Amino acid sequence: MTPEMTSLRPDDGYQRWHHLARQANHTGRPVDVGVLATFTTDLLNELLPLAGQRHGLDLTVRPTPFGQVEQALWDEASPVCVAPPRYVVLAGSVADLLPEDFTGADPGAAERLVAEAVDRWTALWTRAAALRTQVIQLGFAPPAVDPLGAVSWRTARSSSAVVHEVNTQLAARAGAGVRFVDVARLAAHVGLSRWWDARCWYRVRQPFAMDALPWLAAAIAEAIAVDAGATRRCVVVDLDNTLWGGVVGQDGLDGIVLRDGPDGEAYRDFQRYLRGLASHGIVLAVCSKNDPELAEQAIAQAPGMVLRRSDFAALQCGWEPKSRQLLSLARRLRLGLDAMVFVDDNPAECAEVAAALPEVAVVHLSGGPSTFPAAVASVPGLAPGRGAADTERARSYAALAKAEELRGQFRDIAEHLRSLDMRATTTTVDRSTLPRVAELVGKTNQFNLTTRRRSEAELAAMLDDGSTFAACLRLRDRFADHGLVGVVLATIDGDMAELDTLLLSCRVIGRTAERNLVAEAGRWARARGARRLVGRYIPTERNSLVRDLYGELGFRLCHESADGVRTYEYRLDDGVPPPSPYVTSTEVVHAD
Amino acid sequence: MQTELSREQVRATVLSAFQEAVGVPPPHGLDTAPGDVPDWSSLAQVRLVHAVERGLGCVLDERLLTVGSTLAELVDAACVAMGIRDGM
Repeated sequence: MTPEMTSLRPDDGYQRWHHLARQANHTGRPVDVGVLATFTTDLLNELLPLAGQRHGLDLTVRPTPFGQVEQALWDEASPVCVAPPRYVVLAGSVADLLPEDFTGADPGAAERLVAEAVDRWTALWTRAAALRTQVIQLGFAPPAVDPLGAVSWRTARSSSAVVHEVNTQLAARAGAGVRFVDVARLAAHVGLSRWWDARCWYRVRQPFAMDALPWLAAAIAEAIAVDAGATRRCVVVDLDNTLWGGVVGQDGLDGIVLRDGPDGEAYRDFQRYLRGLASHGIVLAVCSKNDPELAEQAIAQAPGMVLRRSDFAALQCGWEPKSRQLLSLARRLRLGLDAMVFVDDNPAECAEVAAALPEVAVVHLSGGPSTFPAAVASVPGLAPGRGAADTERARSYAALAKAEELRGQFRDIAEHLRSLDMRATTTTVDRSTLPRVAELVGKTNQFNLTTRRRSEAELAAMLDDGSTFAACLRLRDRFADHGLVGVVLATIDGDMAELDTLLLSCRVIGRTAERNLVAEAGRWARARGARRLVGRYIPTERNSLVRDLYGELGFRLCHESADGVRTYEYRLDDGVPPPSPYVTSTEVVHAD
Repeated sequence: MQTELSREQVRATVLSAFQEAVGVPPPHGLDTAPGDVPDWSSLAQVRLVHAVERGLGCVLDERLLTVGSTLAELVDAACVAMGIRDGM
């Protein structure tokens, strides 16, 4: 990706995006996307590969003539049905929701139109699920011009109210297999009058202004990236002139700008924004050229601080180049560099990190503190979550850093692991755990034996298949509840069961919890008459860590292919692979 | 500051916008017509009008969004939209 693409933002406008879209090449994780819309999407489709590249995704767009949404999904001979893409984008316009004779005068008409629209699009979701295709559903933007004018949004049965109600109901129903893109919010962000261009609608059947297209393309790519786990999960901030104004080493705790005045208020609001990220699953860390003790003291005691020490998973302070400090942080937190966002006011530090670590997203805070939240929020893939697992994540990473610090105090690894007082819960995957499982399947790289990426829709279809065992593992230790951090998928065919997928979140690598998952899969397989449990290691650029795992778990190596794929086997006649001696199972729900 | 632009600057903007929007330079300069360039599609026309509007800071007559005019006619329409008289 060129530096121009790296710094590209939706508000750079259609022309800029179209210019760079011509230079987009096929790099990144390949993903095919069908675009099914009731309007012309040709100009939008041209921008999608560029939007995907901002997330490291190589999007191949499979367009369908506009107005062929139902035909594409229901006609068995259609390209979408013959070879379903991994994702389908479903998109309609206000014209689909409101017939020409709609006035809002008929009390029942609005309710009926809402129900019909919701039925129409959710029926398409059901069909897509049957095709094992993940849906990206675009919401609807309210009309820029409504006969009810300034009161249209809060007047029942108005055109705008119908649109809002359809959006609300679709968003509420979007569960496994469907990601809802809030187009109404996008349009509000851009400005409704700039979002619409009636000329484009009447002349080319495109219900958006040209400069709205980059926003849509970016939002679609973001939804796919979140689904595929290609997200930024850690924000690393500088301290001086970033979290507060001034240099604490020179100005002292009482001299930094944080408590009073417009700048102080803006710095505090930036800290509130970061705290909001942390409470929704984004890991915060500090990377600062400062004395470590002074940095700790400043965070704990500086007047006006909103963020607390407990909001940060780790502090990396010293005088080394920041790229080296970031590498150290990545090791401590077991995060990939491509999960990190580095935020600094110093252009030289930003340039150094960008040159040395191109995987890291770099945010140079070039404006005043009032611009900082928007600068960070514009990073592609920085997507806070909304579930309980997300709120647990920051605490879990902080606990990981603590556990790593303690490791050196023990004589051996066994003593260290016993000291962690680990407790695991293993359960079969259900609808409530599926989104988190899909997230792990989509993004786990290091501790992933086969790296088979599957969408939520594909996983949901596997769950419905009686020959698949799908279990997930929650782990807590004396420092934190790490949440759902492990997944195993197994299939059975005659007397042979195979571990299709075995993965752990990087936060709990080295805890031996994977043994509990393999043990459960073994029990499931044995209860169904399997005599052999097969495990494979498929090498990738990122998973050499687990190359020998099955051997360590007592499996026998049967074959290794020229491309490094290893096949192992465990005989189940005399029992199943044992669970970890260091992890207490507090609850096991499985299918035998 | 629209009226400070000259007709010549409008011509240059339209020629540049054409190459960006269609992907090839206009083979006959301002006399290029839609039939001269296979890639001058209806969508390329939308891109062209958008590029001219952005380049000049004006809004063109929406009839120009439909393919049909030569580049010279597009220049004329842009000059009208910007209040540039003949000879300026």
